[in-house]
Amino acid sequence: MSVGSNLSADGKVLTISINGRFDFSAHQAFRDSYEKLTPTPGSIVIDMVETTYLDSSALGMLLLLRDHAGGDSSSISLMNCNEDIRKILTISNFEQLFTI
Amino acid sequence: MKILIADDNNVERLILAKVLEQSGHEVIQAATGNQAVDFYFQHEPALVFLDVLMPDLDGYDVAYAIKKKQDIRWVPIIFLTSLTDAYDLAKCIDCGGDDFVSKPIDQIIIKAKVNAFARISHLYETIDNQKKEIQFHNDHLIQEQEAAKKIFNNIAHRGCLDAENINYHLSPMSIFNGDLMLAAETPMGGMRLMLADFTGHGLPAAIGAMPTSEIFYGMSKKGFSIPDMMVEMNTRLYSVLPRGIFCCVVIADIDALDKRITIWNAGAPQAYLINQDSGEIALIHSTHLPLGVQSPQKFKVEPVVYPFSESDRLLAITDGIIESVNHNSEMFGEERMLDYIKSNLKNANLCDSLIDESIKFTGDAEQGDDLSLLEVGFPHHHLEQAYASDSQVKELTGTLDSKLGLCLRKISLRKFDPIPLLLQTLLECKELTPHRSRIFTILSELFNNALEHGVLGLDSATKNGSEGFATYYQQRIDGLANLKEGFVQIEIDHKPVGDGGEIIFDFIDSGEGFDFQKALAAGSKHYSGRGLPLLKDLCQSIEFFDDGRHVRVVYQWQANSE
Repeated sequence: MSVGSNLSADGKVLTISINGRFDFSAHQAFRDSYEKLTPTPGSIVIDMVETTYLDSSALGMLLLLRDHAGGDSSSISLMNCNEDIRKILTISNFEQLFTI
Repeated sequence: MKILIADDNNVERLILAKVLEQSGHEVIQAATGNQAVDFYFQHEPALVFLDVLMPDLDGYDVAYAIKKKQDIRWVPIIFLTSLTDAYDLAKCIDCGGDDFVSKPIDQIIIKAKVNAFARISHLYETIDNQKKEIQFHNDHLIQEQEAAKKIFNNIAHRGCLDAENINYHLSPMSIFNGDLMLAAETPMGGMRLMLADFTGHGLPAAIGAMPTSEIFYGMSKKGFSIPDMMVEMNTRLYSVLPRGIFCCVVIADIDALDKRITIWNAGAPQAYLINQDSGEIALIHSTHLPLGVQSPQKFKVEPVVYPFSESDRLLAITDGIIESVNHNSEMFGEERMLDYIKSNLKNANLCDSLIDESIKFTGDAEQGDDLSLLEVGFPHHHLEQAYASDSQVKELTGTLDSKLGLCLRKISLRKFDPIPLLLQTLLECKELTPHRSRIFTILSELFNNALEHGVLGLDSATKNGSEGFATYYQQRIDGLANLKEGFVQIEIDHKPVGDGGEIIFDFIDSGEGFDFQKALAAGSKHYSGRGLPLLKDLCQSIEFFDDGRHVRVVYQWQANSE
């Protein structure tokens, strides 16, 4: 598991990519990828092209990120989710909170 | 450092002792092998020098005897030897020694070795202390968890989970896996069940269970509907849980009179409604975010309704079983789950056999600890039992002599369930406590008739078959949403009579009325429709006025003579 992050040149879009299983072991790295940025970028993209699996603690981490980015006014999209991940997101109805 | 020297050569032993004493060590001297073993256990030195060749017991045997009995303490053994053969030197290490020095001894080398081993001993000691500390904390934690478990079990108790229509699997420490299973008998004579799964493990997951179960038992007893109760739970969890911890839930109400199940899934894996006769399986998918995620303003509960009778059962699960993994890293998965259910339709205890199946699949019995399954069949209607329980109150109290009036118009009809309010108000008369179930049933039958058949003009004949059920409840939702005008007027007159009292319920609705004579004459075995036979059974009298728009029932009760 590894977490990479990349801020666009204008500082407006933060892309976080997660490699491997997205679970509690990614906790610190995931937080570090966005917490230290001020101001918080207006738009955040989570790239899951390399993500194999996601568990409920990962859902919790996504909620923490959403809260950090302004809750209901945040703009977070989850990209390139595989079928398993999509299913987990659907069960939890996370499409109501994130753009998938 | 305390050092043991074993050497039968007095001169060499004394020289070495002198060298070590000069460096500030405490030295114990043994002249034979047997003495060395005795002294070792007697004085517990931190380092041992052993001569290889001694007359009684040689150095190898001494080392072997010491290492064999050595406790968790690590005591290095250094051989003193004049041997030079590689084989003999290697044997020093093989029999448990840690190093060797050649005779005659060199002071500088001896001191250096002693220092080196002192460092390693110190490291061992540190690790050993840390290990003890971890062990202590772990023991402490287990003790605390045991105590916490007892408290949680009292608060988040299992209600009527042991009823004969229920099979379940829940590990004893499940509360620390975040799994929670609750069951309560509802005042209407049915059953309410909930399977909840908090994210995370340990204490944070367990703490969320406390308000959840308090709300569950408190509100279920008072007759609140699933939506009202879930709104309350979500509001509470939203305010107490930190972001990132939430609760996936399946909740179901089984109405044993009307033979239907009302069910809602928020974030949990699909639940299964299984008909054993037809083999039909309805999948109850999650339709909402888990509890504790959505702000109270946006939270919306829309349960679905299905017919539910003796041949039906509900199976609800947490993600444990679906996500259990076998040696090839394959997940158990929903497909395997559904296939298993389909080929074991008539199994009397699907819950236990699914656990066995999953253990067979993973080949690991310990994984079973994370699995929670709830299987519910049709409950026995228990109104009569509730009626038989006795009240402790002797004096007539509360709302015994009172009249209550409530008129619900368009907007309130859409949003408000008046039954818990009316029930609670009536139950302020404590002698009525044993009558809770009956009064709840009367209130809800009357109110639902007035709303569904009166104001909304729905036809209960629609409810035949599972399709019809869905249609009927959809019509109810649509009807309420599009309601232009209408009202239900309720009057409840409670008077003391003899040892007990008499309650007159008047329900008037804005609907078109109905042919009550025909309905009253209909067969008494039909519980669906307007539930009139049931009302007739529970009440002293039932009368209709104004072409059926106005119904009056009279309920008489006696105080418990005991």
